[in-house]
Amino acid sequence: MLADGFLLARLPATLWYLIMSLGGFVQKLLGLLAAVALAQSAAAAESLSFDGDALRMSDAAPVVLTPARLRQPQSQAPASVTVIDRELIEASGAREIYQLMQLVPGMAALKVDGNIPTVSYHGTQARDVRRMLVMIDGRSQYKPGLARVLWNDLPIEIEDIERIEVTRGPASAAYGANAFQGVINIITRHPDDVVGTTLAARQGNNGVRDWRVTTAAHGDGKSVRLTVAEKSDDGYDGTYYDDDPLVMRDVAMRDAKRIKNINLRSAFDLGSDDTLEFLAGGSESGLQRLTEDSDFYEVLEVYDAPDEHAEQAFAQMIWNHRFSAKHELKVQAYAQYNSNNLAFGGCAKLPGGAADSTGAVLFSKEMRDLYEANGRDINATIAQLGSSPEIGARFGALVGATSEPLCADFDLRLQEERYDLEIQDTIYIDEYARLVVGGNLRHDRGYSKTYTNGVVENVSQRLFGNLELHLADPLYLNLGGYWERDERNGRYFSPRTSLIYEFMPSNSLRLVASDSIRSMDLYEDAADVHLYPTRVNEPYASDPVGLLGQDRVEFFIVQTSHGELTPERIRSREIGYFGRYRSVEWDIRVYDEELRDLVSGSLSPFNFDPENDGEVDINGREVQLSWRVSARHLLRATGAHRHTDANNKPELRLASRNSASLLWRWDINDNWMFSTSRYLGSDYNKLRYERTDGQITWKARLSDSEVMIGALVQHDLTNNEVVFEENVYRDDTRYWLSAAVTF
Amino acid sequence: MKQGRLTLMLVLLLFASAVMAEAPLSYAIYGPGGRAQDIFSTSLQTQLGNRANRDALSPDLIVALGPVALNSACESGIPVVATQVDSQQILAMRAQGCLCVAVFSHADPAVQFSLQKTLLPRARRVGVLLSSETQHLLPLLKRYADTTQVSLLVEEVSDSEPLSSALAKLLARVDVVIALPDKNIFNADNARLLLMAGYRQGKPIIGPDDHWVRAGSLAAAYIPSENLIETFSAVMTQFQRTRKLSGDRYPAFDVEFNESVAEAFSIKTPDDEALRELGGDQ
Repeated sequence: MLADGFLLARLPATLWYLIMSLGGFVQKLLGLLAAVALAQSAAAAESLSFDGDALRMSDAAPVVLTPARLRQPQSQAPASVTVIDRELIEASGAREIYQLMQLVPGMAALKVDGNIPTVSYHGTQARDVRRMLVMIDGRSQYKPGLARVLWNDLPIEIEDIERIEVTRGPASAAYGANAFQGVINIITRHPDDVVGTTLAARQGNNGVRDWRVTTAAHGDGKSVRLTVAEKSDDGYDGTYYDDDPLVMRDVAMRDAKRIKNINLRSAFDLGSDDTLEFLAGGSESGLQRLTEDSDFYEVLEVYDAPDEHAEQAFAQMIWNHRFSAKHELKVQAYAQYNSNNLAFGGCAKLPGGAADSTGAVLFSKEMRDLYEANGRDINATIAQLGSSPEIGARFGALVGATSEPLCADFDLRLQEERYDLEIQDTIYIDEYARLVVGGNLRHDRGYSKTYTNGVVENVSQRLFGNLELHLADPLYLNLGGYWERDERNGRYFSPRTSLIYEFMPSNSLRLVASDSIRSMDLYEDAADVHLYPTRVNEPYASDPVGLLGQDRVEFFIVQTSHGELTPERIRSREIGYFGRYRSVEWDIRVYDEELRDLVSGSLSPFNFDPENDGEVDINGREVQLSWRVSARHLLRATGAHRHTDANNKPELRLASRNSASLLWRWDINDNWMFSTSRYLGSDYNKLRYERTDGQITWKARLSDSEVMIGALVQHDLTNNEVVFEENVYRDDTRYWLSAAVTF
Repeated sequence: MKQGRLTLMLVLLLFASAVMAEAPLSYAIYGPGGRAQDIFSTSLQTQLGNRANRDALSPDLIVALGPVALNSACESGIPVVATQVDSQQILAMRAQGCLCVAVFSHADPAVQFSLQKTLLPRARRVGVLLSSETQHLLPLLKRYADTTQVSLLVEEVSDSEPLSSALAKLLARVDVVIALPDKNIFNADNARLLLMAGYRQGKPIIGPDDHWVRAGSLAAAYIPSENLIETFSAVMTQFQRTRKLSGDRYPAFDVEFNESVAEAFSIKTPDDEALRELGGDQ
């Protein structure tokens, strides 16, 4: 049936008529000619240069396009996909993009490290989450220096998102390394679809203060959208009891944040077969960090609490060329820059002591020597502080020379750059076969005095392809593969095979086997950690040799990667069922995943364990259900149940056995909308997470303007902290009011 | 004998009136000319057979293709059957004293509303784009919307409100768009913008005709060429017999449905029965 539709829709108009007229009469044939001629004379749609195939080739249509880089009905996609469209985004009431991921079955989306969100599919580690690729308009948000996605700093506002496609399951066969457990593909609103200027503001408790300006302009074959926005909140604003022996008191969480971003997207029609898009933007964020949570807390009496400052910028160009209705080329190039700086200041002290001149020994040559002699074991080194004669001599020299503690600032800075060029060619071979092939060239560059002691680079070349074969009417085969070679990780090939049996329209069973890798980032491969303080006080700044035994003030801890880490690997097997009946749509996924060669240990300067010794086995099942009950009611539910086995504890932190979400949207009338949702995670770091949201909005046209007013309440149903003890809200309920006017 | 003569006279009279009644209609075709008009003329003549003959010098009736031809034809004072015109144009000409009727080449917008209801029964907000050419349809469209129990949302395209802007405003507020036969809006130049925007935002477009369906709109009721010719033939034959023009006519329509687009929008393919219930003979 569908194949017939494909065929018929692509037939030239005249041939279509001929088929319709087969066995007909001469006058019918003449009638057909007359119709064609009439249409021509009217210069009407018959001369449309745009045809149905063009839509199938484009990124526009509301089918999924992420799993295989091909536009496919969800029932024929070679993976489980969760689509979050604007209707769902509105209904969720989400203020930050990461919160939308709570609507994805099996996805953990939480603020784990104070104000820093963690989003992890089949969550394993709570920190250092680096096993999923995130893209915005095809641009990777996965950072090359320290492998991670900075959800706070995504240079896009939630209101500018058209839809998000989440491919659940390894997808390196389509996107290469780091699409390890899945891909989140964020597609922003086309400037053609945005109209006028919108002024929006939001304010609530928990320090929520946001504003946004979006404006769009349209011309003949060109359009542009620009958004400038800022958002801020107080983060976890409660207090917690820190039972660390060095703290042992109530601590007020310090994780407020302020984020500004700017995003521009412009589109130009260059004739009927070419479009050019130019995108640019950036963000700037300031995040408070908790002193007591810092690795330096034991050895610094902090006078300038840590703040993290980040800046991002990007420029992107996308050119689409249509050779024919069945052949299209896409060329994409982008450059992006990221700078992160964790800055704080303090005076050195010995663990358990107070800041005085003896603390300066931690910056001495003798301390470094002892540290090296102990095989860079920090605890062993600290333990020998009192027994080492060399350290004792240094203590004496310091106490005799000055009573001033060594005080300084630290700027732990990392700059990352990525330059990426990709060419993708999509061909409809015939109604039974479609092929996408392409190549990618990428240059990653990292610079840090702290983490890599200079510039570290990586150049990679990639080739990819995906072939979709319509073997028989109900049977589809997808073969995909991604070959890549980079200077630091070597050569790898990531394959995926999927067989889809569409036993009735929009109902299909799928079998998927896929392998993916996560390549080692620049830091993992070439870490060379040196902690050089800045703005060191006197007399240490002017006489480091005399006071500290070395010509430069440097903390005793250094770390070096051995450079022999290999990429992490995942092998996934899945059976899925996508179905649709009337207004109900569901997807069920049963899977088994083996994760090997995981770098499970911490790689912080104070706890550096770069080994491929982690292993995790995950199996489970997931379901997502969407039911359009009536024109005004939408119900959506997700659930996930899984078993996780790991050979180390950190990989189990976000391994919640059960998680679920439930959402109801009710469009009361054309002006009022009510929505409510509930989110559950049974055991994140053994803590239950449960929250319910309620939202009501009013929207109306007043003269030439559209006005929106809304209120949202988030209420925690559990009194637990979130994942870690310090993540506590002062109030179980957070709320905010929103207003926007578009003119 | 007298009775025999009377019978003969009656027979002759009947024969003469029959001959007179079936005298071929002479007609002329006004239009933009070119191949399109030639093919239309040929097919119409084939359909009419010996019931009518082309006679450009002293026609009984003029067939007008398009509004310009309609204007010219009306100036002649001869009855006119026009196509490729809209209801406003034909009403305006009639108001000026023109004896004319239309055989519409597009389906009645009411049918597009019914089609929308059949395909998307849960859609509650239906949008239309109007230009100066179609603004007069608004009261009618409101009535159709009331009949099918949907909310009608309208954006007007004008010099001060370009299509891209009006379209973006409309798509943000509706579930589906019904495209009217308005060449100011639904023309080849705008196809990409209209269809792509609808796709991106998950808002299907219904109408305006089969060509647009092949280009990517979801479905449309349209007038097949043979139906148009048949209706023309019927109107002209009736004129030949009665020397009177009937009212405006919508030929019987067909429905074109794009299964690929429907799949993309997760819309179930309608069964033939459901489409038949729309009724094809207007």
